Amino acid sequence: MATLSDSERSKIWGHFMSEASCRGELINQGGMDKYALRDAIDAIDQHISNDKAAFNADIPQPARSGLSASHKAEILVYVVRRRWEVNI
Amino acid sequence: MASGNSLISLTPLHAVSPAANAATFDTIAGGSTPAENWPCIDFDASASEYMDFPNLVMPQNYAGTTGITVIIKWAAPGETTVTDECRWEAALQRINDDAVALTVDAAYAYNGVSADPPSAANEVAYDSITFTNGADMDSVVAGEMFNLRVYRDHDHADDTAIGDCCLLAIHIKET
Repeated sequence: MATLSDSERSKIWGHFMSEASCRGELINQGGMDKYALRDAIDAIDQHISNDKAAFNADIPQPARSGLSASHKAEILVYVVRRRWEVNI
Repeated sequence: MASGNSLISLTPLHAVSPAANAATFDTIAGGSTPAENWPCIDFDASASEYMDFPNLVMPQNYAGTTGITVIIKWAAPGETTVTDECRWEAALQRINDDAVALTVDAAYAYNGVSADPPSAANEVAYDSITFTNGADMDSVVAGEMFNLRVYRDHDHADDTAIGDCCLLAIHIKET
């Protein structure tokens, strides 16, 4: 599975930092700088790519065959976002 | 004018966005009742962004010997680590009498400072960028119009601060 391009990862990088700044949120603990943050974004994107097969295998039938890859990705976005919103 | 004396004071309300890659106008909420809204200009960490302070006039009592110091007053809501710096750059474009078209490429020559963030969230740091008199400040002399361009050099080796760096004010004084 392809990963995001460098340009797309940069957009996430910039968006996350701007959002954190708007919240007035300090995220510089533990030796963090903006490049360490970028490394984390790259690793998370790569992890998603690496685990594509396992993720798909965990989806039960008939959804595994019946949903498109785009639908599966959309559902994943909704689930992850909601878990973030309710602080799981 | 004596060394150390004020020449020009600027706030975000004096700023004008360039045609591209502009920093973002914003406010920082204060803590009083009712809360203040501190105007600021947010410079991203992931892309170099610019802001202009055009149509300035160098005060007539600028001595023209020791140059100027541009003091950037800024906050970093997401950052307090002194090893995570912000790289501020500034340059002047001289518009002297009957000599320079506003439409030319200014070919800005920047001076900069690698600035430590304030030690606590939402505090304000003061950091200086110096210009020697003459070509270093595009030869601006007393009574002449000029543009001051400021940008954050996001991919400078020293720029590692996480998140926006928020410009709150600029003080130009005689060095």
